[in-house]
Amino acid sequence: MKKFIQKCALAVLLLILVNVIAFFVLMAVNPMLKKVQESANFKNQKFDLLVFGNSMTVDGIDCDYLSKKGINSYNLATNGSHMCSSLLQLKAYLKNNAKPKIVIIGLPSATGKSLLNPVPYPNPLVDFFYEPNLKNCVLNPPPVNLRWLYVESLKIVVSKAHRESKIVRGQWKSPKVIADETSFQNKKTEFYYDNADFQEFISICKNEGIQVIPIEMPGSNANRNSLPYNYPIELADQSQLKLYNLNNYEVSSQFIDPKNDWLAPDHLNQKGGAKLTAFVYENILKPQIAEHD
Amino acid sequence: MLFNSYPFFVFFAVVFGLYWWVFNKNVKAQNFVVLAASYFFYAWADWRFSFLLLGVTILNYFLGIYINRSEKPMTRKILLNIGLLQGIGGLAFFKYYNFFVTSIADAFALIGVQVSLQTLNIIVPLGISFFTFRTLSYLLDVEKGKVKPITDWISFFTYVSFFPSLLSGPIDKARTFIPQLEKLRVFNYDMAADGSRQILWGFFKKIVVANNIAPLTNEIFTNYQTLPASSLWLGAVLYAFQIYADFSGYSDMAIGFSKLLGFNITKNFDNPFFAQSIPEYWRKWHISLTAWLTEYVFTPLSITFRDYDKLGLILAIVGNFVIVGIWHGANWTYVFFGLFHGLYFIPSILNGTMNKKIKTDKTKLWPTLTESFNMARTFFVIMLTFVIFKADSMAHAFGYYKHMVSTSIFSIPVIDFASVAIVLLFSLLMFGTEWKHRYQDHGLVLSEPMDLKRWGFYLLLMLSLLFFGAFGENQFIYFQF
Repeated sequence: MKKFIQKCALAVLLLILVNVIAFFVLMAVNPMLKKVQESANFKNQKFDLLVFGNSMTVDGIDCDYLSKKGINSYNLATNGSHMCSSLLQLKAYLKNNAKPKIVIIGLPSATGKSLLNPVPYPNPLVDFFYEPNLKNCVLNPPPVNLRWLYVESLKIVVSKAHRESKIVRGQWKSPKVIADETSFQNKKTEFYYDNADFQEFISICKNEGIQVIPIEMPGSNANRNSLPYNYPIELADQSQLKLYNLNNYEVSSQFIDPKNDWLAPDHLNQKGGAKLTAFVYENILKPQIAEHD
Repeated sequence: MLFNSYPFFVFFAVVFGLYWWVFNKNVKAQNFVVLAASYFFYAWADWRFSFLLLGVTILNYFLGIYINRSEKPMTRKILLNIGLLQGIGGLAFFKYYNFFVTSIADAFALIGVQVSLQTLNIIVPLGISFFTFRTLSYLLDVEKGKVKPITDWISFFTYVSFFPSLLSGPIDKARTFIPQLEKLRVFNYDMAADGSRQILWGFFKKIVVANNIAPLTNEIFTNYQTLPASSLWLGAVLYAFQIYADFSGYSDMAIGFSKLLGFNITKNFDNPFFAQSIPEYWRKWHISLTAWLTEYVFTPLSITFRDYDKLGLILAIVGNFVIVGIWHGANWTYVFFGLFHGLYFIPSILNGTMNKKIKTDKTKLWPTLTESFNMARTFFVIMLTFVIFKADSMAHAFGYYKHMVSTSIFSIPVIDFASVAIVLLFSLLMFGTEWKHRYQDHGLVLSEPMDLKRWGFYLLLMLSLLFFGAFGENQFIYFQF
């Protein structure tokens, strides 16, 4: 029995040791982890525009393009995020940096409630870097809690498209191309704009004098709708906020090429992201900046 | 409580400690620890069903004793039939009532008669098929005099509810399991180490291979109408890998945890995807179920039909496999799954090769061309039949088959290639390791004497589990049966 217990203990110790080493390797090689780490450490930044959301927004909003157009911007969206994590990121950013003029929230209703799910599910990666604490690290050890990143890192080894992808100003720029073979079905979309974290997010921005632009991100053909290009959403203080519905089939079909602009279902590749961002710049940001000036 | 959950680890650690350090001097005390742990384990899922388990066990305990005591054959038959009625009746009610009712209504609808029959909102008790088969085999064996009735209630209750194999087998027969309960278990390092290795191997198969394949196959089977045929073929192959990794992984864990408590339970899988014919495949897949059905269904059926020569054998096999199918659940897909497997036996019955045992050369690293062809042919048939098993209905299955044979078979599959590459890499590791150890007790009986090499491999598996394991809420596929 003693020998058995000794061997089990040895196995556990070995595992912990290798885990710690592997975690440091991950920190060195995983681009998404490096992005969140970098953004959590932002100090005295003066971005004009920040972008929040989940993976559809990580891939879809090209802040490099916007910066070249004179809008100094950064895409803070993170894969698989819920609005509660975006809220955490916003608060941390405002605490340590100059407030931005504009905030874009990429809403992914095309694919379901995810970001605005009534039940919040914090992104472990955001939690780890934005709110590090010992209790959390013990209960949810980072190597285990961030395990999906190892699968993502392995994809870099097995897939050329992953190797050629990079993070630029927070956007995941991927050259990978898959065709969207689905067809428009005028999907009935359910919205969750009354989500408490979403409402608090907007309320903070309003109080800070930051302009909020919510955008419904375009999904694959089958997940798009025919709702108006823009419509008002109700806020907790009874006021309204204009939302831009780029998931409207006719609008998004003007700039998205179903054959060349996707890297995965509902996720734009770098070409698609550039086209979407150009559309946002020309039709939403430029008029508003001109009006403001 | 899933084997791959934190509560189970805490639970097992407590049981292990009590079993080997506190109650290790007395066989009854050891059995009682296992029994109490088994009921706790079962009640954790739904405490109400532990009363069902208790009731079934009490009834069968007394039936066993009275069947043996009774000297009149008629009384013995009556007592046996009470037990069979309870077992089969329980299964029929919990698993098949709604299926019977809707099938009857559908049959009447075909001849234009509308029948309104009430379906019930029934929750199927976990593991009912497994503990029922244990009690049935016990009563049949007692009636035939193959085993003596168990008078020690703790032993009998432990046999029926033994927690490592309670929810998804393997289905042990009383005559192999009870003798182990009668002897004091003494801690054996080699057995415990082997059990730990088998648990690790089971975890790897379930958490790394099966759970990572699950979202891919779910997506393909759900969206089969919009995907190219090449994706559907890939989906069919991956599903065969998934169900094998899932169920054999569970069995490895069950056997491993049993070994940690000093029990040897029935082997359930013997590398079925290396089988070179369908009969051989069924000697290697879910061995405890096929052995059970062979003894209690196929043999009596083949005796009944013995006058019809090969036709009788075909009838017995097909009947047996329809029961294999129905055992899995109340859906026509399972009936057809069993039926097709029964029909696949016909060629080997006709050419007399049904019982032919084919072994590959132990010393060779690679199979010969003929062996490879036979394995590929057998896998191809099995893989296609698993489409029915996975489908929600026969319409779904036929729709899937129909889309599989379109011209888009030559197009590039629409799928997340990186995810597929990763699961194929792990599947290769799984099958490669099992091929190398195909004549061993399980996939992780490593023969390498070098500790460093062995430990390196264990570490690789543990790291795969931690970094690539999908620990979500994916239940074991066979829990539903």
